[in-house]
Amino acid sequence: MMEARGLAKAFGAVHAVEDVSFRAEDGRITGLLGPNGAGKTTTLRMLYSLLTPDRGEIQVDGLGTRRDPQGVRRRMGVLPDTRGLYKRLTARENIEYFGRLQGVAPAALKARTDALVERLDMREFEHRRTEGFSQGQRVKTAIARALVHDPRNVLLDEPTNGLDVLATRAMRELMRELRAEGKCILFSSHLMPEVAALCDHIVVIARGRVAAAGSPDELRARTGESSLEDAFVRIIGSAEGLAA
Amino acid sequence: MSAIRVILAKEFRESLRDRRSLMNALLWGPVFMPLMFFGQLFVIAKQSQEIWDKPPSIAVAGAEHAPTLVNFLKQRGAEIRLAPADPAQAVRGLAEDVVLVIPADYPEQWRRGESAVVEVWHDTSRQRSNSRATRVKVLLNEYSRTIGSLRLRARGLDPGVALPVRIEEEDVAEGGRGTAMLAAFLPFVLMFSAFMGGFYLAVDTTAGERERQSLESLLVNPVPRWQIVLGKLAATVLFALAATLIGILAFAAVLALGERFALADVPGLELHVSGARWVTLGALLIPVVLLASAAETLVAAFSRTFREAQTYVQFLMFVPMVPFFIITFNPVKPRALDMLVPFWSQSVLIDRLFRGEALDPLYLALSGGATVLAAAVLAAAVVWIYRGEKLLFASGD
Repeated sequence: MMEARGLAKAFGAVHAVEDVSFRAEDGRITGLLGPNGAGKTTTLRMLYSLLTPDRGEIQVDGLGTRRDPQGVRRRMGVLPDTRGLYKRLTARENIEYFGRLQGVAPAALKARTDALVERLDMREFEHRRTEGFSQGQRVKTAIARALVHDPRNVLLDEPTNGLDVLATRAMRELMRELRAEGKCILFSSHLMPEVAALCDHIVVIARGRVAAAGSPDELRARTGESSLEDAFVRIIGSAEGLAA
Repeated sequence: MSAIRVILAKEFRESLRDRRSLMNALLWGPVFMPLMFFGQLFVIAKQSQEIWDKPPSIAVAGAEHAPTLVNFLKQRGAEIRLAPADPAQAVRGLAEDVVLVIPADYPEQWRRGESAVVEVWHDTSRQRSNSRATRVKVLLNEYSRTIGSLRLRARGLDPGVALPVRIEEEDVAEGGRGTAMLAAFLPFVLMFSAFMGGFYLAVDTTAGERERQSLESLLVNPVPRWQIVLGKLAATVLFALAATLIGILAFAAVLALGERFALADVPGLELHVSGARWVTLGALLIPVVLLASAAETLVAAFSRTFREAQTYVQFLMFVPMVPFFIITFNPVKPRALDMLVPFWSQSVLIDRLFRGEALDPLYLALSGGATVLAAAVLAAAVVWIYRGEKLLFASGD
């Protein structure tokens, strides 16, 4: 479970996030939807305690990011916006490196990596150096790296960015599986169909603030629009920056 | 602490897989430079041997005007050849290094007891021409003094009358020419190796990681930033240590070979360096390796891009050249204050060490302590950068 209360973050004169509060529950997929530049990445970066909020509080499974940033990080698997791999290491070595940094014991690490390689269908390229990987292979490796310590909470920043149709389907399938395991999944997207197809709970962010939150049905009902797309446009005030 | 080991192992493994930078780090500076040194030593030694120890071969024009002089030169082992018609052209055109011209009025001047003029044609801009000319002039002076003494004695005078001052040279240089050259050259080359050895890792693990966009993923792991920095720094130090060690071994090997084969018969060239001195040298250089690695990492962590980091860190490599030039042109007697300046103190101490002096343990401790302290301060500065949020955005995303 992850909870943000009154988050604000400015970079110099730019107020990236002004007031963001929401709850992401276990066993649910929560989507942060908003146009590019709305403050989604900055919000996620505060959640995984890479950035310190100027104001506001974050709780992850009851732990505060200010008090116990390392404890919070142990409970999280993160696919950041920048998902660079180590190109002179193989896919498997990339995964194992992060497993060790997460403190996974050697025997468990082997079993866990095997399972992820199997689950993400990576056997073909697990022992290849990541230099020259396709976008899909790269994202799979980065996802496996984020899940290697079997975290309760999973944060994904624009997880389907740059993926082809097949890889996108596989990614959505994975997110549903993780939900079935009872994990708390939070992902950001500027793609409406994706959010509509996956989310149990949607948090719409515009200009650094939460513009609306609720289930897809709730959002439709609240705006009186019959399609989600029209509902979003109504909430945000313009269609700019949102991709259909 | 185990995170430091994990990061160290990963950075080390990753660097080992990059052959080109590996060659650069471990071979270019540490092996190539000693070979260059040996080449230089070899050329100088062989040249001086050729000039001073082998009988000279002198091109002489007008030998018929001074048969006694020519006989004297022959007695001294010189081989006399007929000089080309134009001595200036011959020397300038590299056909001869030196030409001795005995003018036609030499016999007349000689008979009258005046100073008879001989001409030594040479080219001061050429090292070999210069040395050969010196050798010819030494022989001519010897002849001149001998004849002068005879003339004075014939007039019943003591030859000392014409020689108010007689010079006796005492050379105090220990170890001779070889180790003296070594003393000036070694600190520079080995410090350069220390910088070169860590150069690639320092840039790759900081600016490189940021540019390849794996930094954010790394920082999401539950590892304190100081451990991340120490892991990366440790990998850099390990490479720099390896490069320095290879440098020392290369020097020792090159000197042992030189002593054994090519240069054993050159007089005044002492090449033997005891094992204890090599060990002291290694101990002196460990703090240098730490400081060089920390400085490179700090500069690279500050830089916005890989390229920028490379450029800035390359400037750092000039640091060990400063003491090299100062000491080469103006050797110093070390004082306690000198010991507090990193790179300088080691240069001074290594210079003394290879000139055969015993080093003051207090000086060794001061030099090592000050340098390690400086390294710790720079490492702390890197940790400070890694704790800040600017680190992520420096590449302009």
